[in-house]
Amino acid sequence: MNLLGRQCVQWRVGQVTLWARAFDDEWEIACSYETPVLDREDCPEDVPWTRFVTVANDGLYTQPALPDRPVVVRPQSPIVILPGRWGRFYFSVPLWVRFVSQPAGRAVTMTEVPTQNLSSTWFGDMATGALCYAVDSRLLRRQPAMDANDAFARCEIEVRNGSRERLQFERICVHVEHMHLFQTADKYWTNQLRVVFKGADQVSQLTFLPQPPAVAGEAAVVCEPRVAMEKNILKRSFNLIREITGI
Amino acid sequence: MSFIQNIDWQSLLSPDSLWAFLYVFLYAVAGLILLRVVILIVKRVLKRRTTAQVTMLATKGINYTGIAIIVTLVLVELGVNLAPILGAAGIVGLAVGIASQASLSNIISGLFLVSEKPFEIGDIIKTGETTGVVVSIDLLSVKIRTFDNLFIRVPNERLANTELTNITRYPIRRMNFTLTLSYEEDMGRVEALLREIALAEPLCLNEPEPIVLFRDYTDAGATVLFGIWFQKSDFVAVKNRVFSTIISRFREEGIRLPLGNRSLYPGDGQPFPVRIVAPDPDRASPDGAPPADILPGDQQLPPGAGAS
Repeated sequence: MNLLGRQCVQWRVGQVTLWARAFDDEWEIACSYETPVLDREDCPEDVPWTRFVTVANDGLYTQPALPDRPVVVRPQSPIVILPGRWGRFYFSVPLWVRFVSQPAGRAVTMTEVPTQNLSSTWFGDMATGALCYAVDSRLLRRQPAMDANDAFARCEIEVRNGSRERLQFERICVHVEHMHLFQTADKYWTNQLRVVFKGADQVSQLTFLPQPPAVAGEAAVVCEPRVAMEKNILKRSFNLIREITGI
Repeated sequence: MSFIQNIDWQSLLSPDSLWAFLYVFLYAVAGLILLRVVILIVKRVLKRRTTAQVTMLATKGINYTGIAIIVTLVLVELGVNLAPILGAAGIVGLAVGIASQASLSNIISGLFLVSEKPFEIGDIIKTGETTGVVVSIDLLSVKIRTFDNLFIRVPNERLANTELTNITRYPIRRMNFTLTLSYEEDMGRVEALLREIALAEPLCLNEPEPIVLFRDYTDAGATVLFGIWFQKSDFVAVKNRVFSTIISRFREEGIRLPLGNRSLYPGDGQPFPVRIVAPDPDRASPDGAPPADILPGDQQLPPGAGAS
């Protein structure tokens, strides 16, 4: 995108309204989750603008990206997977808009904005857990119904109970920072994730498959993982039904 | 003066002696440079593998040991007999040790602090009335920088023997607000409102869930604990935002936060009789009406409304 003088562009993605305007060697970007899209060409001044000094001929490009922290998803009701059984689950991940100063390949990130107002949550115990985003979408047994314009990516998880005990969970933590983002004809997908539960006192084995599920069809990578992805990693992924609620 | 007169300046300033001095000087400089290089390498290696506290202790240990070795070698090169010096150093060390038991106690306490690791450099700790960031952990004391930028030295012995709170040990914390509510408030509505406030604040974690705990019946009202979880780095923002949000939302919803309130109720359930004996001319308004805080006889307080 190349803008002249103080010309302003605005657009709405998910819950966020974004504005951008150019000066000589600067880009100014603002976002708001409250201000509605205005039917006018000049930019509002009562939103927090951030200035990015680039070089005069740098353009402004946007890319979709996955969140920068793991996301925690809840099923509609607690799920029980019996020993040795497995299930396939779907949920939708809110996308981020990444502003870059160069096209892909030479991209320098200016800033990133979540398209949904995400709330933070904690996953794991108080000392060694991880800060995550809580997503409003639920863990479903079928593909979530979404419009093509929705700023979400679909994610398929295969959960296997590789232990000798029942796997009953009320939350699952998905490490999207290790995932690729793919684009199909009208949707975004992440690559497929396989989680093997090995017991309540053991970490789960996560396997990131290199491609989205077959149901996605033909897909091209539009965003690389934020954190280099290993094929198999061990993470604590399930929040089992709590038996004690302490104060 | 006789000592200076007895020096053989001729031999001392001879070319051989000057070369020897120069040699020793270069020896010392090279030793110090080598020591600096070793310390830099150790710092760089340990920085990636261990804490700042261990790195600081290791580099200090290497520095002191290195300097002692360099001084010894320089003295040997100068032809100084070390045996009397070491003997004297032993006696002096014993005397100093006896005379500085407090320092020894601090050193030993410092070793306990280092091994037990109740805090590390960069942690925010509270000991006694002092709260601040740990800037260094030394042999004798811990240095703390308070939030109003004061430098405080706390002896290790005191830290080892007193209660100490490490505020930033865990990544998340709970912030507690204790609210006092009038007994006339709908506690269910208050609880719902507090949960709504926590949910609407993006810096509050929604898991662990916020706590609303009705704690006690007091003279001033019912006390409620409202606890919200947050990331430790967001302390100031969370405190300010939630504090002001509670006040504004309570005001919007008409929920009062009484302070030092006393409600008086007549024992027989009848309203307090209020009778105006004579209006005070000094307090009367220009139009002759009584001041607002004096109710006419027929506007008595209803039972249960209370007088504040």
